[in-house]
Amino acid sequence: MKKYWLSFLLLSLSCQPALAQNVVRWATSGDIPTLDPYAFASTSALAFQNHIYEALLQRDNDLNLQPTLATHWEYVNDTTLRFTLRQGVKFQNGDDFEADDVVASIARATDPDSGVRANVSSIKNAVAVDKYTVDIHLKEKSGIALNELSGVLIMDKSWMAQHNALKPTSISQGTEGYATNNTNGTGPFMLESRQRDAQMILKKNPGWWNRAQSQNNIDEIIFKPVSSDATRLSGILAGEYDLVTNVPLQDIDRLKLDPKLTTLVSPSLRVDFLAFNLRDKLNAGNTNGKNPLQDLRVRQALMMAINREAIVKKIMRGMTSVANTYLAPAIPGYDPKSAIALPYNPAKAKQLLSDAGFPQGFPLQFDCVEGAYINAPQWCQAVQGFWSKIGVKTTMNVHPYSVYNQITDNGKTDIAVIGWANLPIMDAHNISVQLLHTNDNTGFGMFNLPRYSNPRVDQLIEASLPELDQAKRVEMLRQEINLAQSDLPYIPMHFEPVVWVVSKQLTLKQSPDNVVRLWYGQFK
Amino acid sequence: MFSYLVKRLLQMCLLMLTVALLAFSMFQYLGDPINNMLPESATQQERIELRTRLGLNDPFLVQFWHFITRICHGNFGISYHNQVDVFQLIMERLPATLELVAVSVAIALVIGLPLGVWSSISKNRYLLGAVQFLSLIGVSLPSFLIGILLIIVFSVWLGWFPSSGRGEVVHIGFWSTGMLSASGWRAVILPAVSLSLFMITLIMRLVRAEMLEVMRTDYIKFARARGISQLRIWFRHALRNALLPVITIIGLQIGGLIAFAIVTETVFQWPGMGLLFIQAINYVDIPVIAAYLVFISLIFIVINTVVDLLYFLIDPRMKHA
Repeated sequence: MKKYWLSFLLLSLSCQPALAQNVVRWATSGDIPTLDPYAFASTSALAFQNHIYEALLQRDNDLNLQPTLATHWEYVNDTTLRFTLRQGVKFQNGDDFEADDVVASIARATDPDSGVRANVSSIKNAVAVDKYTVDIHLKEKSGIALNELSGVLIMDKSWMAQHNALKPTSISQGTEGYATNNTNGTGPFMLESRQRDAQMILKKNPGWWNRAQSQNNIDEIIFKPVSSDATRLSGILAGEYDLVTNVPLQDIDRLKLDPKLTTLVSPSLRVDFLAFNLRDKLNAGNTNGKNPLQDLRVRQALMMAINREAIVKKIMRGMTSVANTYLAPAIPGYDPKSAIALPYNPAKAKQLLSDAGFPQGFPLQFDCVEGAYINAPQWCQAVQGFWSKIGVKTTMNVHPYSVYNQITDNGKTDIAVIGWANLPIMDAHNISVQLLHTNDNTGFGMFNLPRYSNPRVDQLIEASLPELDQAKRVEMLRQEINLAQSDLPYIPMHFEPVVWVVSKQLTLKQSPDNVVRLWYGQFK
Repeated sequence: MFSYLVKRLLQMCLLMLTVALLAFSMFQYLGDPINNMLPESATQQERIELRTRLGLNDPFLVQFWHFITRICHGNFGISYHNQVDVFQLIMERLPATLELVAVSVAIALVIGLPLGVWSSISKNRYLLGAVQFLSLIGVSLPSFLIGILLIIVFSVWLGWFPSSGRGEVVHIGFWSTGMLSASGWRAVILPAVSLSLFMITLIMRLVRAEMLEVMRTDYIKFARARGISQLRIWFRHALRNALLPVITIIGLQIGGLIAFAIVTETVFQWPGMGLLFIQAINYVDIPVIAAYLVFISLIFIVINTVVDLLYFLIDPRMKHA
């Protein structure tokens, strides 16, 4: 037995990896299920894939769209965008980046089996004009085509063809994808190894086209998913990580005391809302034969009854701020002048309820969700407490996400919770189409949980869609959101906080879209 | 013997079918994976299409029938969340779990056996009481708490072992092993210890009880009378005879360890089957959950059958039973 131990020891010594110079050990709560950029449209997956793959244009650290693989673009006509591609860019396997790659990538992203198809809704196809020019045809006139294209990471056509990956994975047909576990992008880092749910190692791509302009001096990224909060926290404290995203709020105060760490905390683009049931019937039963929530005064009363400042301070640990608008400040269409002015005032709330004819209050069914929004079960309970003080009795249930969605989809609730970040396109278009437009079962109002409907709002949204003049388009959306805000189908609660913990060695800018951009990262 | 084996095989099939049916009926309450699979901007139409393509709109029995027929062809489907073949996914995870279990069984044996022997012969009442008391704590503390305690002490305070992961892994064919690198060994220690605590206690107590019984038998007395050395009597005569039931229990426990390593794997982010299962539940990844349950019951049934067959070999009286 001793001999074996000795050989183990020798082997293990020989297996020690050579130490790279600047290594970022990055831990977060979940793995990236697939490296195929067209399989899932999750913000976290896209953020990770963005280290390997690049799009034609991309958001920089200040969230502005910048030319990336394209150097220039213009509208040839209302439904054709012409892109001039950057020359001299190479994929990580050495292939040249050319128009054919863009054409194949667009075809793959818009394939019926593509998981990101909904994020490229305005795009029809792409046609190569010459080696470095591509025309992208839109289905119809659209003001958000560029926003959508910034999410289409470009893949290598010959690599996809070689590995039978020209079409995305199809779960229903049981086809697996080479691109699920293998990558070949043009980005600043390339995949070195991948062990599902254990770690991924990315190495610096020395041939990156932007290497000369970039300040970034990171040689290696070790990405570690650690799902247990307690274990992740222990790992931070033990100095095992240099960057941790998704840190539980209650641990921040303790981490601030650690001299080796910087805690980055800021409000994100995501607003957490409470949604009212505005249908004719309440699930908890109507009062005096009607649904009290249909009365604007009642909705205003319910908003005034909640001490949102206290919730932000106690439950969100003071790491964010109260939201009085449906949009975060960074989203085009945000208008601070139209902020909803219904501050905490339980006496006024009771008065409003009496005016509306419900002096004794009424019952409501409240459904909250666990795991989807930060600390949601806690602040739901707080809201329940505030409402009971003005006589509104709620029965609350907390559900896992998968069950909760079936409840909200079927309108089986009176008060629901929803968070909306307007990502990845970062535009008021998103919330307007999904949450505020009348639900017509074709695509508009898909997440309009209240079943809110205002013809003027619908009209403005529809008019904004084909508008190519950005200023005009944003103005229409601004007006429409102000209208909706005064109708109050949703109570905005607060912005979800983005919480990162970073080693003092590493300089990194936190952006409100909660996307880590390590190609801007720098070691001291 | 042969008819017994056939009977066992038939029972196995029936049992597996029952497990599959039970597992499948539970899915009705798990909710819907669609929202985890589609972006927020997906339309109603796209949702309905995906639901139909995944067969989630079919009646329960039709879905179950498809599932069974696919399994009979060795096809467990594609994971909704990870988008790879489920069988491959489980095979990818199997080495991690098996190595973790093997190391914890080894730890349990190396500590539990001598401790059991010692506690059956020791005359030191206080020390004995202390060990018995400690072993009670080992059994009654929930394993996630033990895991967290181990992490706090050995990774945060002392910095001896990593808090999570599997360390450096070497691939040998389809098998991935962490047993060939120092970091792999360092990573396995804490989860293996936390998983083995219960088994150490179990083995210790079982060995002690069996030893006490064996030590009272005549042949031990005769051995003593013949002047055989004390150590030889303890380990060669007594322990050997006391081990039979212990082996049975260990056999059964291994199945349990594989299945219930879930908590330990979650705490230590050990990339084994348990972690896979927990995540599958989070994402309503029905093909993975179903395959995992079927797979685990298969392991249980196989281990039980092997143990039963061993009785045949060991005890001649069983042949006439």
